[in-house]
Amino acid sequence: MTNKTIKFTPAQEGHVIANVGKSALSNSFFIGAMALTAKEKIQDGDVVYQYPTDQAGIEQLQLKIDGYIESLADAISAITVINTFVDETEVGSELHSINWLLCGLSESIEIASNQSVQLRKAEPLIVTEGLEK
Amino acid sequence: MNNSKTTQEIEKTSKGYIKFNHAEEGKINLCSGRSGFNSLFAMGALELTTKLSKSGEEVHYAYETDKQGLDELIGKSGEVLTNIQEAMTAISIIMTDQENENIKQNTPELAWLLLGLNELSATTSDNLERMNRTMNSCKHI
Repeated sequence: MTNKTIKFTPAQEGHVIANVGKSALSNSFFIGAMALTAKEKIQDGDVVYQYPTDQAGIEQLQLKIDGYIESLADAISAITVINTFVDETEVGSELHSINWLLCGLSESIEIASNQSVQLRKAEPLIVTEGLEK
Repeated sequence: MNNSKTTQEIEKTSKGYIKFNHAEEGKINLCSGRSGFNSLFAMGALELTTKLSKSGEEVHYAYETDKQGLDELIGKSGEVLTNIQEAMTAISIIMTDQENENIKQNTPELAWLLLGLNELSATTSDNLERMNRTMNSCKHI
């Protein structure tokens, strides 16, 4: 991994670009890709999740998930305040869209939180530079 | 009777799932939530594992799913894109009321959210266009 890329073995080049956008939400694709390609393994009676990256990649993923959860929590908080205080007679039709967004952000934060827990029992599939487990 | 039950169980189990070669069980669930936002994670997984190849001037994308999976993901992505764009419109309208102190105080968080949604919308839109093009050509799936 370099500062600009993260190892990800299923990708065409074996790595992905580390920062695709300026906001935490832009990490949805990377978090999704890592989450859906992780493999479960039973090790000494415990479940361990193997990610197709190296240790630095797992650390980057953890940082991105932390930022993602924080960003979504801020957004949910701000939207909830607006929902409480906004004049419904003026923006009644917009509130419907806002509520769907709240649902989407809440579901995303749930998935990210589950990933964060899973990462505590994570190990990289790439253990040494260039070698896969 | 037993055969019928088995068929129903299989249908129930596979409903909402699409093929994804890199997943633990070879499939991923597109219908685990109500908002459709989870399809963004699935789209990310497919996007970042897609193999690109060129033949002459033409560029082909080999997705790690089948035609049905791509079709379902296109449908879901279209839905979530509509939801995102409607939400962006709604937030922008609400943010114009800067006389409301509660909105004013939350403007930085809302602006960051707008930026995030805008980036998500752009990426989703690009991917959707690419998936549609691949579906139309029906090659390398």
